Amino acid sequence: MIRLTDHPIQVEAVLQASRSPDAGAVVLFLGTVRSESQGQTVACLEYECYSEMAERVLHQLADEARSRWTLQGCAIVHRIGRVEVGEISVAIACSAAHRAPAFQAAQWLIDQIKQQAPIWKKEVFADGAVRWVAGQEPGRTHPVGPGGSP
Amino acid sequence: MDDRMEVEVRLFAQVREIVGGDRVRLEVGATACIGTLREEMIRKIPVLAAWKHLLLFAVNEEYADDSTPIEPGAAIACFPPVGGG
Repeated sequence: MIRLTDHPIQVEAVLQASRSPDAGAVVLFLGTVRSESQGQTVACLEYECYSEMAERVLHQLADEARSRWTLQGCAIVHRIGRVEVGEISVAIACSAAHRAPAFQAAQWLIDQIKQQAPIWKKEVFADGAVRWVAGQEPGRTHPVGPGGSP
Repeated sequence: MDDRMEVEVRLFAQVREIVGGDRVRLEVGATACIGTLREEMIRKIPVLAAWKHLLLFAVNEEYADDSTPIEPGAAIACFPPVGGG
C-alpha cells in the first residue's frame, strides 16, 4: 500500500498492509499535525503535491528501502489537502523478521520522503495568516528559501 | 539548428502562487536543456529571480539538473524545495 489520499488515513489498514507471518516486528511511524509553530497557533495544514511524481517517488523509496533492509512489508500513505491539528499527515509501516531493520527502514523512509517527495505544506494559523513551510532540496538536510545563500 | 520548441511547464506551491497560474508556456531552442529553461523562466517571469537557484525541475517525473536535455513532448515541472511529512 503506497498512496496519496485526501481522506483521513486508516491506520489499521496501513498496519494490516505491512504485516506478514514472517515478521517478528512491525514499526509504525505517524506524522501528525502539531498545534504550534514558532510560537503561533496552527489551525490546520494544507498539503499540495505533484501527484504523479510523488507517487512515483514513494514507490522508488519503498523499493530502495526493501533493497537496503530485508523487509517483509512496507506501506506508506501521505495525506494531501487540508489536514486538521491532531490528524495524521503521513503513515509509514515497516515489518521485518527482527526489530532493527524495521526501525531503521521506517526512520530512513520518513527522512527521505521529506527530502525527495514533491509535496509542500502551508501552515494556516488561527488568526487566518498563512505561511509556506520552507522545504528541502533533494540531497540537502536543511530547509532552504529565497533570501538565503544564493 | 535554429529550431525553437514551445514547452509547457507545470508549476507547484510558492512558484505557482507567485506566477499566478499552474502552468506556463515558454519557447526554447530545440536542443535546450533545463539550465536554458531556468534562464528563460527568470527572463520571462522576473518576479521569480529571488528563486532562481532554488527552483527544482522534473522531466518526466524524475528530478532533473541543469544539464538534463528537454525532449519534445517531455512532461516538465518546476517547483520550490519540497517538504512533505
